[in-house]
This record gives sequence, C-alpha cells and structure tokens, in this order.
Amino acid sequence: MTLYLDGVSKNYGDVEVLRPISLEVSNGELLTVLGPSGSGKTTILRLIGGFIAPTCGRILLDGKDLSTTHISKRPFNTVFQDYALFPHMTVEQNVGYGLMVKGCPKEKMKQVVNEALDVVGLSDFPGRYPAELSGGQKQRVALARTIVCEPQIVLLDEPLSALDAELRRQMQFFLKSLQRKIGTTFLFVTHDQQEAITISDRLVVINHGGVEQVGTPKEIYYSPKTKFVAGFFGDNNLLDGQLTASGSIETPLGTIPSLQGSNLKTSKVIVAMRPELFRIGKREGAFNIDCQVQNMDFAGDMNFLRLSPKLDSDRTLLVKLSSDPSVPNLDVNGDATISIKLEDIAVLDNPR
Amino acid sequence: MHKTNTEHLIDVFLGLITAGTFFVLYMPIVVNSIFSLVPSDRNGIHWGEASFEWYWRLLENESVIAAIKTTLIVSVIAVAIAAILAIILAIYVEWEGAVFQRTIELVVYTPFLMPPIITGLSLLMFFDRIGISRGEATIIVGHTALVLAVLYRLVLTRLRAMPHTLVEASADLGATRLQTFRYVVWPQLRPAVITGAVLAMAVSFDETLITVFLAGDTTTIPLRLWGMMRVGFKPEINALVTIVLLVSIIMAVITAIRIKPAEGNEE
Repeated sequence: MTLYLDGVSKNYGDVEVLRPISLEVSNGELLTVLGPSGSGKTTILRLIGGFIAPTCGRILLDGKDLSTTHISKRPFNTVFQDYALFPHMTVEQNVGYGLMVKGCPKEKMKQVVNEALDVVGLSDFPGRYPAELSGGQKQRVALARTIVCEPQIVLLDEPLSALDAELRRQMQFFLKSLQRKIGTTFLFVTHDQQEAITISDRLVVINHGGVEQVGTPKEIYYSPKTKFVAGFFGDNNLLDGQLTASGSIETPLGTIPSLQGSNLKTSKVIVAMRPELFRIGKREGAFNIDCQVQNMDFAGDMNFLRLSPKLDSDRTLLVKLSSDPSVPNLDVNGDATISIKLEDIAVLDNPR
Repeated sequence: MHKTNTEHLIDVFLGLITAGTFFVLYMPIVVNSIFSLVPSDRNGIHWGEASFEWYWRLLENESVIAAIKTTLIVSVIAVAIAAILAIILAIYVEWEGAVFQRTIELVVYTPFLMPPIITGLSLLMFFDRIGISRGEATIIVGHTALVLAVLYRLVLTRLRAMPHTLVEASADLGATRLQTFRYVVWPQLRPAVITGAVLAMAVSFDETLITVFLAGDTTTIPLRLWGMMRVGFKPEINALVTIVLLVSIIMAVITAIRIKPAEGNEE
C-alpha cells in the first residue's frame, strides 16, 4: 500500500488553508503530521479521509485516484478528536458498527468485535455505554471501532489531546505498540512536539499550510532545515550567522570554524544549538562561549542554566544540564565558559 | 440564618401573592370539575349525589364521540406530518447549508406567532380560491402549519446539540446516508421528536380559532363545546371541559418532565 498526495491543496474561498503539498505515506509506518493549531494539519487528514474535497491535486492509493470515492468507500478509518462514539450504543455495538452496516453475519461480527476489544484491552466492558467510560477507555473503543474495518490506514486526529498528561504518555506507548502489533499504517495528527517525536517513525512538520520538513524524529530534532522547525522543538538557541568565503560562520558570539557536510544555499544562515548539547568548561575543537551566569534553576531531572554571553550580553543562552548531584552549583553572576561540539551545531539557510 | 421581622413580613407577603395567583387561576378549574360530578339546582349543591352520570351521557352523545374521533384523527395526522417535515427542514437548515435558511425559519415560525384568526382566515381564503372544500383535510393542513414550529424548534435544538462528528464517523465506517439516519441520527432525535409530538398534540387538541375557519361541517371537541354552550349551560359541558383539561394537563406534564432532563442522556 502506498498513499501519495500529489500537489494537494485546499482553499476556502480566498483563504488558502493548505498550500499544494506532495507527500508519500508508505506501508506499515506511523507517520505524524505535526504543526501548531491552524497550520492545516487536520485539513490533510480530512482530505485523505474524504470529508472534504481538495481544491487542487490528486490523492492516489496505489496509483488509483481517490478523488471521487465517497468517505464510506475509502479503505481508511478515522479516530476523531472527540472520539465520536455513538452515545446510544454499547461498546460492543460501537465497535461492531462498521461490520453491521456492511451486513456482516452476527456470529462473525461478535467474534471480530471480541478480538478487537481484546487487542485494545477492553474485553471486560462490552455492555457499557460511552458515558460510563473514562477518556482513555473511550479512546480504546474508538481505536477498536476502526481496526475491525481492517483499514489500509488509520487516521488519528489529535486523539490524545483530551487526556491528562499521565494518561497521555500511557496512550502514546499503547498506540505505538498497537500499531506495531497489527502492522497497519497510522497517520497521526498532533500539535504536541514531544508526542510526535516519541511515537513517530516519520514526521511531517507543517506550518502556515505548507510542509516545512519531512524526516525521522532524529533528523527533525537534530538537523532542522528551516528556522521554524529549529525553533519548534525544545528551547533551541538560535543565532543569525553569515557564511564567509572560507566556509566558517560569523556569529555575534564568535566565529564557528567551517562545518563539514553542510550544503547551504544562502550566505545568511541560522545557527541552532540544542541546550542539552552544551557542556560546562572549555574544550579543544569545540565552539566555546564565555558567559556570565544569570541563574540556575533546579527542575528535578534537569538543571536549567541561563547565561549571557560576554560578546553579546543582551542575549540569553539556555543550557540544560543533567541533574547529577555531583554537578557543582555555579555562582550567579560568576563567569563560566560553555562549549558545544562542532558536529552538534545545526546550520540552516536563512532565506530572509 | 436568623431573619428579621421585615424579612418575615416579605416572606408572608410573597406567599400570599403566590397563593392568590394559584387560587384565581385554578379555582375555576376545580369548580368546573366539581360541577361535572355534583348536581346543583336552585336549592343548592347536592354533595351527596355525586356521580359520573354526565360523563356516561357524554359517551352516549354521538356528536360528541364523532368530535372526539375527528380531533384525534386530525391531531395524530397533523403531528405526524409536522414531525416528518420538522426533521427534514432541521437537517436541511443545519447540515446541508440551506439556501434560504432565514426564509425557511420565518415561514416555519410565522403560523405559530401570527394571531390564529389571521392564519385561519388566510388559509380559508386560499382553500376557497383553489376550490378545496373544507373538512378534516383542511383542518389537518391548518394544524400542521401551526404545530410545525413547535416540532421544528425542538428537533433543531437537539440536532445542534449532537456532534456532527457522529455523522462523519458513521459515514467513515462505511454506512450509507440512510443507514446513518436510521442508526445514528434518529436515535439521537427520537426523544426530541416525542416531546415535540406530545406538545404539538396538546396544541392541536384544543385549537379553536384556526379550526373554526377550516372545519366546514366537521366538528372537533372545542367546536362541539362551543356549539353546546350556545344551547344552554349543562353539566355535560362541565364534564367535557374537565376531560379536555385533564388531557391537556397530562400532556403538559409529560412535556415538562421530558424537556427538563433533555440536556443529559435521556435514553
């Protein structure tokens, strides 16, 4: 199974919700569409599901155009943000709905529904109504309801956004293991960076109705291609830089020697340095920055260190240090040198 | 909390007003019901001779029975047609992005808000123009137009409260539009339709003014009552009024009970 979005876009009147995008979804992967609210990520899901029609472009499933195929005939099933469980039906009836409307025999239906409830760990509540279930349980029912239809892709529209933090982590883990177990392609939409990085095989980062970057969680996290992506994950330290003829980069905090493997297109660049990749102390062959310590906050598993560089004291750099008790406290207003390895620095084009 | 004397006085005063209101509103009903059971003449009220005699007489009165039959037929058919129309209109307005949404709502609500005498008269003139003779059918049309507003309002409110994702989910799981209506939409609307139907029945049951214009030779209960009163004031009338009242009150109570929990899961 391969799903291919070929230059698909969506306009509402004059408003361009989704700029023409091309995207390939391959078999068995958990692909996440990530973006801030209003970025058009849910639109992508609704276009694939068939709830709305694209303004331009084609949606191809194994080369076959789905544009004229009705929602009910597409081999995709959706888990809705509000779960959309039928309130007047029991868990069993909800899960069996897709089979019931297709005229599946009762015996077979019961068997398939029981298997699905077993997979999502809800075999104890077939007779309950949605109102009697917790958020996490509703979520599982919604999942079971889609997988009994044996879809080629399960579309999940921010399915965890209504759950509290702890349950959310559990469900992330559950979703990922379920996806591995049944081997079905999942297309997951979320605005939560952490969630996206945790569960995805691949990520599509969307902003202002356009694709910013596609890649594995590690690629997206460590090698952002755009300023938006660089700033979207964690508390990245971003600097403006100027590429020189020799290949080194001039920044307000000093010159970074030439970096290997960078293929930059513009001479204006953005330098991104992850707060957790800094170390305290000068290192040979690394980018060293002399700073004054502003403050150091203990946050349990981390120490948050804020420093102002000597060369540009209006700026604040954030450094995350492990909260190993042996790490000595730094004096506020004291001097400290922080360093980051050259290969840990991400440099990206700054077309503006 | 301890209350001052003034506050006690206010409490008593408010209580008296409430009691007075109830007395004025309900006393005639009580008196009427009593006189349908207890005979009275110049010598006074004969409490000891209470009986259901006048009710039995009503049952033997063929014209009254016919009126009751007509009333039931008219209200059941009118409410049924109005219910179907209300569901279609509400779905059209709410989901299909009706072209003349405002106009539709105006048309639906107008007969209910206009003075009945105007509604009755205009329908009469209309039927007369196109040459339809008056009878049960024309009363049904009049009542349908009248009660449509009640049903439409209740169905629309319920439809708005229902998340549209339920419909999308149903289609997503492979249901046809008809299956979606049958298995998802109708079970959600059913409580509202039943409540609306009871309320509409109550309205149709004692509707008089529009009916006067559209009845022709047909007689409904209110018209029969009107006719009986012109002849003379007999306890039979008390009995009939009591029946009408009881039916109306029962339907009002059913509606009140059903509308209250309509926010939660009433099924």
